[in-house]
Amino acid sequence: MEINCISTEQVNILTLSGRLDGRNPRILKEKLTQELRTSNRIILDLSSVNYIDSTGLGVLVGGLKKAMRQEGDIRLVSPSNEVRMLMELTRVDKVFLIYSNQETALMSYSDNTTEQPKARSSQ
Amino acid sequence: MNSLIIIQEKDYSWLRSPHFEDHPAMVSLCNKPLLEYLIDFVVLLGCKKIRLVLEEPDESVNRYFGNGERWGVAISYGNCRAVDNLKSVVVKSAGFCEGSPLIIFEGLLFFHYDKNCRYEILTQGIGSGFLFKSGTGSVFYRTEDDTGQETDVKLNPSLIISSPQQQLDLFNLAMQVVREEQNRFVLPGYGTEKGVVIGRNVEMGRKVKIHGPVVVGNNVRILGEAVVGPNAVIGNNVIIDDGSEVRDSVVLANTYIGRSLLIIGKMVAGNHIVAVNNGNSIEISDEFILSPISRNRSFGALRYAVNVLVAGLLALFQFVPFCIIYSIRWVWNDLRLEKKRFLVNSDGGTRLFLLPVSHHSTLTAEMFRNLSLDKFLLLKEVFSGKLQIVGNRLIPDNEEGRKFVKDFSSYMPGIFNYTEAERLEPETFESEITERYYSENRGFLKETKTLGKALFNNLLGK
Repeated sequence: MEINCISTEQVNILTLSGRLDGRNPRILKEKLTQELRTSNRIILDLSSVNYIDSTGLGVLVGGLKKAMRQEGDIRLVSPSNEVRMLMELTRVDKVFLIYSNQETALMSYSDNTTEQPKARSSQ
Repeated sequence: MNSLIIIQEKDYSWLRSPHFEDHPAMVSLCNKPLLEYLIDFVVLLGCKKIRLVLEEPDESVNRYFGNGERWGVAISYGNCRAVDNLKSVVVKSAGFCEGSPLIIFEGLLFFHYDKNCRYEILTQGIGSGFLFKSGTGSVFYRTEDDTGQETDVKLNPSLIISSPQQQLDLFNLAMQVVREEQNRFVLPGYGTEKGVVIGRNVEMGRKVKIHGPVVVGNNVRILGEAVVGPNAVIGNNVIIDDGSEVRDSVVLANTYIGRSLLIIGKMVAGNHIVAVNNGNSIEISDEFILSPISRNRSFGALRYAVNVLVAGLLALFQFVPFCIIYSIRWVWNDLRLEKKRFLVNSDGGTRLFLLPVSHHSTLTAEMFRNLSLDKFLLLKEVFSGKLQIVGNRLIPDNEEGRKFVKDFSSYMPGIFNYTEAERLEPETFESEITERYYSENRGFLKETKTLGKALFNNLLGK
């Protein structure tokens, strides 16, 4: 799995690619912890993630919990159909805000900086 | 009236998928093979003899339908080739087809019949003809003296015929049956309330909710706080783990559904899942979410080694007493050896066993039984892996026995069985429940305890 990071003034954007599964959970976990030190608002672009499993989902939810403890959020962008189906199956889609592209995800942070994830929203 | 059912590979090639382990004709719809619906309909039409002609004969089909006794008809089997057409198959089955009016079903068709209805073929004075013809199948009626005319013949009352051609068609049919047509068919299981059909050996955990209409298969475990339905079909040998919810979905046989999952509008087969609204499908390689359940319980090297070790020890202890007591009984003509065929797995595999038979109650006969020496000759079967030391009661190879093990996927016969360990009468309801319970909850400690109990009971002559 590869992670590319772009830091803006208020939000850190991580673009993931490859498989997010039990083989490499630590890489993302450590990266999320590191990014949360500089900003509590993170966008994870999942458009190039072709597979995710329960370990990967666990890392995402773990990261979200950390972000929420810092009064921040992790918002997801453009998961593939496969990833989306898995998120729906495991009900993880209910705890993340999901956007169709990075721009709308970025705008959502500027629209409502204190918004907490309640339910899935596709925009 | 007789019936000829012809199903060729082209009719069911779409069912050839790694997700369907069965022969295509045995792929189930609401836990009943597609072909069985057709057989039921043929019986409803009043046919007494049925010939099943498949391009690729399969042992599982023959075993399931047997000689048709279950339906009160005579079922025979035949083969055909891919190049054969309806006429050539009829010519090949001339012996069967002549001498009686004949109804011929060609293709994998699904009739939305009603079990409470009586159907009649209206020939209107015409000798033979088509009842139904489409690109995917036809139903042809032929009188005793076939005139060869091909004219439409009607069925009274008329009914809807479906011809599934892809997996989603099967899903839609299953949903139609479970939602609207449950009462039309005989579905395997029993209904405690309207719209809910539950199979045999179904275990439900605490706070499980079942919302009809649902059809649940045999040997299903629905664990704590899971929600099933409305509009759900759960296949045989399925486990739905804690807190999961399944609705508007079909879960095919031998599937494990992990914890806290939400399955809505899906078709699940093992680790393969299809969203029926858009056809998207994924293979999940995470066994905590979805995974296939092995139909044949693996014997396992360790289990086999333990069995062989125990069999060796028993043989060592029993050898001398067996030789002495057997010789005495043989001299007194008190005992004879008889070969009997038993079923050794749920797939219908059989094996011939040599068993000592005696109806005398002499002192030596009592000693023979008390020391469990009647099991001595079976010990060698443990080495070949056909029997376990502790397992299910040996079921004789007959029509009734085959019917019994067919729905008993975890059947693994043993030299010492659960019925004798629990001192129950064989072939009773209690015995069946015990056998099923133990075989679904096997474990090293349980089996050791069972062996001890069986040996002890025999020793005390109980």
